[in-house]
Amino acid sequence: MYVETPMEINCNGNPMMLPGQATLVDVVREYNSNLDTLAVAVNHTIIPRSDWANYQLTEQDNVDIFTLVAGG
Amino acid sequence: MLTIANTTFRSRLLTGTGKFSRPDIMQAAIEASESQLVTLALKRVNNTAKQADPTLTILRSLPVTLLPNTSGAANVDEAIYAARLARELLGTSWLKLEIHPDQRYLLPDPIETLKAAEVLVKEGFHVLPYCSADPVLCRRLQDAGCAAVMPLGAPIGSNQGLRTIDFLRIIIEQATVPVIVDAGIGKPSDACAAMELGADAVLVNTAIATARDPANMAYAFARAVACGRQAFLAGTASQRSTADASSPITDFLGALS
Repeated sequence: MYVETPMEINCNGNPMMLPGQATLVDVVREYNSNLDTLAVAVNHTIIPRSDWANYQLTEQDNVDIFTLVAGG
Repeated sequence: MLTIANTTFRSRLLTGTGKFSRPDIMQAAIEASESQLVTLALKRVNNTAKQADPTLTILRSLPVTLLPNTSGAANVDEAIYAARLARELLGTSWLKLEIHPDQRYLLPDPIETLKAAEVLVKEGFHVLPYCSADPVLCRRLQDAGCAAVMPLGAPIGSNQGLRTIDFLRIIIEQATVPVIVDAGIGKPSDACAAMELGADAVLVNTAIATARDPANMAYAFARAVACGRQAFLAGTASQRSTADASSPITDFLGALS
């Protein structure tokens, strides 16, 4: 029987446990389901929105999720 | 019409979205301002609050071009990172480039700003740099391919008005790209004065957002900007150090003696 090994990543500076097969979109949905309000970088490389569903995360990846807010 | 990066705008009043007490008040103010270029800021998502900031959703429902800024960037690398993230998020090349490492006065770092502008222009961004009211720097930014320059009137949010007016005059005289006076504009008469001077546009945030009635203040700013522009086009009369009578000088008072 295949058992997924959980992995730990950092998301916006905080540790996060994920199933071993988690993709980037799984993480992003934890923050906001309205995906077109977000931009995402993994290890400071910006990942296009169209690639999130297929982007396989690996142990200790640093994920940063950004949005646009009020500002002058 | 104001033309920036081959895009024309009826309004010469750019507005910022910070400091409003409520999103609906911000929306009403932007609508009253008739602004067509509106700024917003990039931020890491808060990992506890599920409730998203509604600013982006509101702005997308309005007939405005979004102008993301790089506020918070302290150097070239951070600004470029922020710019690329904003472009990925919005699918737009518009960018207000801001690099101000000092939190007390929020004055823009001219060297980092110029370096970042050179890179971002090559990457196809329409770069509108927030910068010191330095005529030499503005020329360098213009030569680097910036779509406009945004010299400051006074520190961000200070409402002090056009403290840099003598340098703004030189910048306007020399510029071949639009000059947008940004920061420090505290009241509609400041905006009007900038436009009378020949500025192509102004950007206002704090003075509208923190007014007692933001929507009414936004309306007042829109009128002031249009008024100042009209005065500039009409050609303001020259100043003199002595009087120059507007009425005929007659000697009828002398006739009484």
